[in-house]
Amino acid sequence: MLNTFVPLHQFEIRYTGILNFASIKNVVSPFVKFTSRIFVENENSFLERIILHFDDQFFQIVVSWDKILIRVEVDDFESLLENNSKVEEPFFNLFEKITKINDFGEIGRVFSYLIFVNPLNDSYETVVKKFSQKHFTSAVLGTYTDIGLKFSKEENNYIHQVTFGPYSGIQDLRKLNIEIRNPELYRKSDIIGEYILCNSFETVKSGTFNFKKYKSILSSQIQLSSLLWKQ
Amino acid sequence: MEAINNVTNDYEFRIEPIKREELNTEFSNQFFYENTESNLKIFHQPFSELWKKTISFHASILQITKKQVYCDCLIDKENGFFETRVFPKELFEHLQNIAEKALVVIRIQTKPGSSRIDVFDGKGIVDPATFEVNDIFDSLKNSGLDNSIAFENG
Repeated sequence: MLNTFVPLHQFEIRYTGILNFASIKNVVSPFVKFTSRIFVENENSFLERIILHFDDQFFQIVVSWDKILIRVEVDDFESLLENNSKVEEPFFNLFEKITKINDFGEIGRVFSYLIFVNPLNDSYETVVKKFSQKHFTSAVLGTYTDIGLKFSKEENNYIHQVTFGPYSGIQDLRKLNIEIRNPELYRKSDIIGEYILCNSFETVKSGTFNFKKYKSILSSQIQLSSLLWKQ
Repeated sequence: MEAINNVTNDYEFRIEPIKREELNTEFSNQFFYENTESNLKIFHQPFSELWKKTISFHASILQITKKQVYCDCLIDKENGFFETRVFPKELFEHLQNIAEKALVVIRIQTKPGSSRIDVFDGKGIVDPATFEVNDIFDSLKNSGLDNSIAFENG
C-alpha cells in the first residue's frame, strides 16, 4: 500500500470497573518480568493504574480498573496481525487473564486508533494545494495554509471517525500529543506527505473479545485507508 | 569532628525510616518535547539493538537431552497449531524448574542479519490446559488392561 507506514497504534478494551484492583495486580505481576520498567499511578485509589513499559520493543500496556490498552510504535503495522505478535502476546493474554478473575464484570467497548502516513516528494505547500484541488470543488479562502477532511460513520455497533489531510512532519504528531520514541521511526516520521487518522469504536455485545476480532477491526481500518489513498 | 545528624547526645542516635523508593524516575512528557535531538541521542544509549520483529509464544518442554531442549510450541493459538521446536539447552539453564512439562514463554526477536531468543518461566502466564493432551486411553489406566501378559510355562 504505497509507502505508507504507521507511526502509532493504540488499542483499548474497556470493561465495567473492577473495584478490587488488588485482584488485577495479581494477574499483572507475572508479566512484569517482560518489562523494562513499570509505573504505578494513583496507588491505593480506584483510579490506580499500572503502566508496563517495553522500551526495547517500543510499546506500553496500561492496566486500570476499567480498561486495558496497548500503545505501540510500529513500522510494519501488518506484523501486528501475525500470530504471536506483541498484541497477541502479552496484551491479549493479559486481558484474557483479567476477564477470568472473579471481580471481572463485562466488556463494554473497544477502541482502535491508527495513524497512517504516506510520504510524498513535494513541498508542504504543494501537498496542500493538490489536496485542496482534489477534494474541494471551490477554494473558499483562495490558497490554504492547512486543510483537512473529517468524516464519521455510525452503523450497528460501530463508529468510525476519520481525519485525512496533508502532513507536515513530526510537529503534526506533537499537535496530537504523540511522541515517537523509536529513533528509526522518528526519522521516518519527519517527512512531508499525507496522513489518515482513523478512530474506530465498537460496542462488544457478544461478551467476549479476542485477537481474532481485533484483527478484523484493524483490517477494516487498513482497508479504509487504502480506499482513501486510492482516490 | 562533624556533627552527625539526628544525634541528641554523645551516646544516642535516631535512625531515619527508609523512604519508599519511587517507581517513577525519569519519565516526563516535557522531557521529550524539549530539545528533541539531544533526547534522541540519549534515548539511543539504552538500546544496543533495534529489532524489527518480535514474536512470543507459549511452549511446554517435551524432552531434555544433554545439549538440547525439545519444546511443544503453540504457533497459532486461534487454530490450535503446535510445532515441536528444538533449542540449545543453555537457553533454559537460568530457569529454576527446568523439567519435562515445564511451561515457558519463548520470545524471538529478529532483524536483517540477526536474531535473539529469550526464554521466560511461564508460571502465571501460560495456561497449563493449553498443553494437556486428552489421551483416549487415559480411562484405561490402572484397570489392569495395561499390564503385561504373564505366560505360564508348559
